[in-house]
Amino acid sequence: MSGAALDITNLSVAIRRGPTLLHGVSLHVAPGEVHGLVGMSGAGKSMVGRCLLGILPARVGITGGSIRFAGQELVGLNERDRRRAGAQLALIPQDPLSALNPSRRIVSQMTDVMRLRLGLTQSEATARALAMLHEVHIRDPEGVLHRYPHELSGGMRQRVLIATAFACEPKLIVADEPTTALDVTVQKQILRLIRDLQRSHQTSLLFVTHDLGVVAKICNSVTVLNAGRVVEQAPVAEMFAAPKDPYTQALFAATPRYDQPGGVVA
Amino acid sequence: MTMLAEARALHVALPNQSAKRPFRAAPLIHILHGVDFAIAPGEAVGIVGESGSGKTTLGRALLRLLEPSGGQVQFAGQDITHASEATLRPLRARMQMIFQNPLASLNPRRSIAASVAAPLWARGDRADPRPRVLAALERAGLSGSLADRYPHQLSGGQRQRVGIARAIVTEPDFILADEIVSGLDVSTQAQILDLLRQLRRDMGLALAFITHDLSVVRVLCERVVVMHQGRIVEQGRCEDVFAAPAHPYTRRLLSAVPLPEIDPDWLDAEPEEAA
Amino acid sequence: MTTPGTLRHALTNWRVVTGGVLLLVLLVAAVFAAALSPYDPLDQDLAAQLAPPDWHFGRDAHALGTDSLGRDVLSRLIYGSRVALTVAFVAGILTAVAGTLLGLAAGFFGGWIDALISRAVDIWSSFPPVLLSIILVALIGTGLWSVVAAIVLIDWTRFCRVIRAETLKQRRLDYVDAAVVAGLRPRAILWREIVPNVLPLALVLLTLEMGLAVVIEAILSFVGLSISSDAPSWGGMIAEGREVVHQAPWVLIGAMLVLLATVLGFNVLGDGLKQELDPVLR
Repeated sequence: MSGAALDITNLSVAIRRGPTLLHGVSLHVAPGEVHGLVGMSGAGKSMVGRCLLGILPARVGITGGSIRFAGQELVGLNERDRRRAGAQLALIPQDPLSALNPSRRIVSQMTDVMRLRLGLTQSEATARALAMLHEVHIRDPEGVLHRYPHELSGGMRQRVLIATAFACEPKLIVADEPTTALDVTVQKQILRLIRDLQRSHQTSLLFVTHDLGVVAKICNSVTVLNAGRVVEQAPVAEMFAAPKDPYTQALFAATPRYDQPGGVVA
Repeated sequence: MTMLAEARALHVALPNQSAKRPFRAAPLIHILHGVDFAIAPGEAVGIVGESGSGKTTLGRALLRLLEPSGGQVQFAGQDITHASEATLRPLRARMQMIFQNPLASLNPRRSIAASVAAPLWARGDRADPRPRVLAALERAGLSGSLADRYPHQLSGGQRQRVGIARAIVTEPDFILADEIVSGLDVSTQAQILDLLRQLRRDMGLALAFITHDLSVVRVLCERVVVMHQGRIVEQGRCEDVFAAPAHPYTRRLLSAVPLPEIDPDWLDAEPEEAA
Repeated sequence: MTTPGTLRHALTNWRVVTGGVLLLVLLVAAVFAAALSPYDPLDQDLAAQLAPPDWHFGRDAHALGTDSLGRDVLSRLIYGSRVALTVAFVAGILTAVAGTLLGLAAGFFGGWIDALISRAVDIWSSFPPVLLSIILVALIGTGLWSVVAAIVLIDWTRFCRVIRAETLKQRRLDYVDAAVVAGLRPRAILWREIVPNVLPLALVLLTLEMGLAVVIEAILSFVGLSISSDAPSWGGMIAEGREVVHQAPWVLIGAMLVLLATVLGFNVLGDGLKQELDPVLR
């Protein structure tokens, strides 16, 4: 199974009777590509992923534009078709603790989705969950299956969620700041894991982050958002060689580096 | 040079409430294993490490927010290892703290002015605090018109500035900053770091800066202390440690920081470890 | 504790206004009972037993009818509000003060103080409350003050539990550490930092407790363990009304409606106050 193309054109999102959050955002994710979506808090970067997954907050709605994914228009779909289209999408969330139900074991949370999406029986789904936990390099996967979320470390929980996201062989995964809550050494392992799985499963990835360093290491192309508008869009190598937009340049200038003496530009 | 705040062979063990059995004292978890740390007047030191390394515990022990189980803590030449709250009170105005979560560290039912004035009130200062509160807010880059607002009415960056104003209102010698920029995005972070540098210059503050972000340390501090599993594994001047880390853990930590530059080999540079 | 303009803002909240108006009407009835009542609530008119409601406000008309002894139902309802409100305020406030102080102490000081208070609460609340109150009233005798004592002795645990949990939660927040760094004494931290954040919850619990106290008093009156049976109280009227419900349903219905409105008033006011006193919810 290979990744599918995502084409977002002129997407506008607004709070009902309130301010506009996204002003005509367009972006393209090629099959099998990792596309970074960068911006500060409030730039609307998470909103793009939420539109795609159909999980907009209450009183927020799409006011215009189109989202074409795997040859299908997602904007304006009814509930049932939306659910069917959703089978080819998955999310790796930011906070691995609140994304897991604290009162259910890992196994039942992982297999729920697989039984629903892939029509597996409980024992088939359990076997697949076990295989996926192997694939995300969890030690003692049998033990982990029967544990509760609070019994795992932050990095382990994120691995479980990554395994769950890839288990249904989606064509595109939205990763919403998946490493923000983790320590740097764990972050590196998780980034590598996401990249490896993305390659071996040939999944497209929309990677939402505020960290230019993370973009540099994992993305092929990148979109920079500021206040709900696209300010720059380029292949990663191009943008890191020479950022064109003044806002992008300011982001680079404000990002501190341990290997360079401090020159904070406010 | 005499040290302003100092810890010698510091041990800290805290009761583990979740493993407590009825009618027994809770078992102890040893968090710091003999840490030696010192900060000179006017100096800025970064304390870095991953979660569970003991960096926050070290900071809290320096301020005597918790009592060490062994070793010694000194402030301005005075042994405060086991000093009572009453003995500490006169020193509190000289050692202040800025908290990680500015919303949680401000009392939701007190106005900004009242929160900033608390350290003045606490040291028994009954003169009208208003002029000094306004001066501290202004120094922290906030308009005096925010003084009568409440914490939930401010933005994240503004709240962090209120936390800074509260920490400087008594003109302290030493400020402990615990992960104060980790929740902020880079542009707000850059402004707060700039403000701290300016305050250090103007007030001659000593700053202990606890963070997991090594790059931020380079911006703000002269010296860095690397902690791992309750011990200091390496310390030295920032340019030396970051250019030529001596300890393997420091090397591992530095190599895990994603710098904003293209490096196709970076992700595969280290053998994968299973979790 | 109150932010400027809290009161004015609260008056735009329909819950606060509805609850407040209901309780104000009740308060006026209780205070001016003598002036408002058309009859003496104890006067028996054996010529007019179980007279139905009569809205011709002439002489001898009973607007809400009479009971089996010919006593005016409206007057008894008005005088009954005195009993209900006395119990609500005295028992409610005493319960709140006792429970809140113990809960604060347990949550803030922890250690053996917490262990002692928490175990007492555990043991105390394992007795069935109605049984406990009946035993208590039987021991110290019937009467209004016995009812108040019974309510306080039973319900302090409810406050204590909730306030202790809230104090523990507040104590762990950074602003308490910030107060320690500022150099505040423990007593000052308790009163200046924690109490203002716990008090709104106590106030909300208090309004709910007042509603509950009215119900408990009515229950004890119903089983004849409150004030003497000819003195007017709503619970007593419900008990009497039950016996004549087929001939004269107005005795029962009047008392039940008044009881319902009172408890509703306290609960709605409590909900409204909860919204108003939370600086973030506002």
